[in-house]
Amino acid sequence: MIKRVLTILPAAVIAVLALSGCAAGAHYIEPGGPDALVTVSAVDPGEWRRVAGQAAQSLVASGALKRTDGMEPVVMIGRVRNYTLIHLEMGLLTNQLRQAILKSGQARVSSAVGYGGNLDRAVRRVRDNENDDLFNQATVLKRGTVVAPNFSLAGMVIQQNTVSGRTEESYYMFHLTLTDLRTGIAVWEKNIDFAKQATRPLL
Amino acid sequence: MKKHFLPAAAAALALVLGASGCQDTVNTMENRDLAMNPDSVDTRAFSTDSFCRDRLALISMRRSTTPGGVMMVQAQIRSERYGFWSEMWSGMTGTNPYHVLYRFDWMDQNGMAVSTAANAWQPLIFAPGEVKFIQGVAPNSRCKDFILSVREDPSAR
Repeated sequence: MIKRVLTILPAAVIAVLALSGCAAGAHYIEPGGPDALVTVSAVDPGEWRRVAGQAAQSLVASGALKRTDGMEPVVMIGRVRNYTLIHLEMGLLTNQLRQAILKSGQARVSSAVGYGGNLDRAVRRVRDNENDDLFNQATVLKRGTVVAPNFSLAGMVIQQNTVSGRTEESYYMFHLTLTDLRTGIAVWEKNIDFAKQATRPLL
Repeated sequence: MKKHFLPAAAAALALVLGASGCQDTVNTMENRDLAMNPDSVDTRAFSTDSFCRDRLALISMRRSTTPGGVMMVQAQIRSERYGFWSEMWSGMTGTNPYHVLYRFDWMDQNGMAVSTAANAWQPLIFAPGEVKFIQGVAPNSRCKDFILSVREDPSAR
């Protein structure tokens, strides 16, 4: 009996140690870094950062934010349409583009008009207090002070899935456009695409 | 002895031919009389990964100013993983093509790093012998200095 226990015990200890070694506790990783998960079925955090980075670089390099009519360039962040089969939080892209435009010093970004989280409704709401006797009317912001945008940044995301045998592939293409709102003409466009592939195990 | 030598030699020959047949290198050609007049950048490299250093060769580093008035740099990099042994080894280890990640960090005139969306690691895939151009654009016109970081992509193995 003792001999049998002595035989089984080391094996059990090794098995327990090996299994506990497979677990990973919660830890920080760099968003979009080498340790981040890469999936075929979604746009991963690293890809949002890459798309935003490439778009920001292209926009800043292009000089499209310079105006020849003497007006100060002000960009409205419009809608990035999702033509994929999955839910995408476009704020992950537009928030980074807003910051990149601001940091470039080439233009300012409007929060008075825009789409989704890029619109701050407070700009309009505070002016609705102009007839409210609760407020000191001298402190209520007047109408006619908000700067209107003269550029609009919008776009779309397209996805195409293909499967061949056990291999699945997803292709995503982001298309972004900067439109001069005075003329309605696109002054900058950028396509950013990437494809991911995974093969399911045989068993 | 002779009886065993012939099958072994035939197997070795088949292995060599098979492995060399798997080579999927990129061959390049360019015009000999170059018309361009690039502004080259003197680089100072700090490499901690001897594998990555030996597998990629920096051919040139150039800079220019974009229409937006910001600095753009371009690194021309070639994969040195070509040749029989190199390709056979990379094929066996699952690192052909060669996946790397790169990132540009930019500093302003005070030497302070400027964090932007463009700081993200960007993937790049090299076929053996392939030449690729990595471009980085400064986040604003005040940034003139940069660091280009390159590392192997462990998620691609």
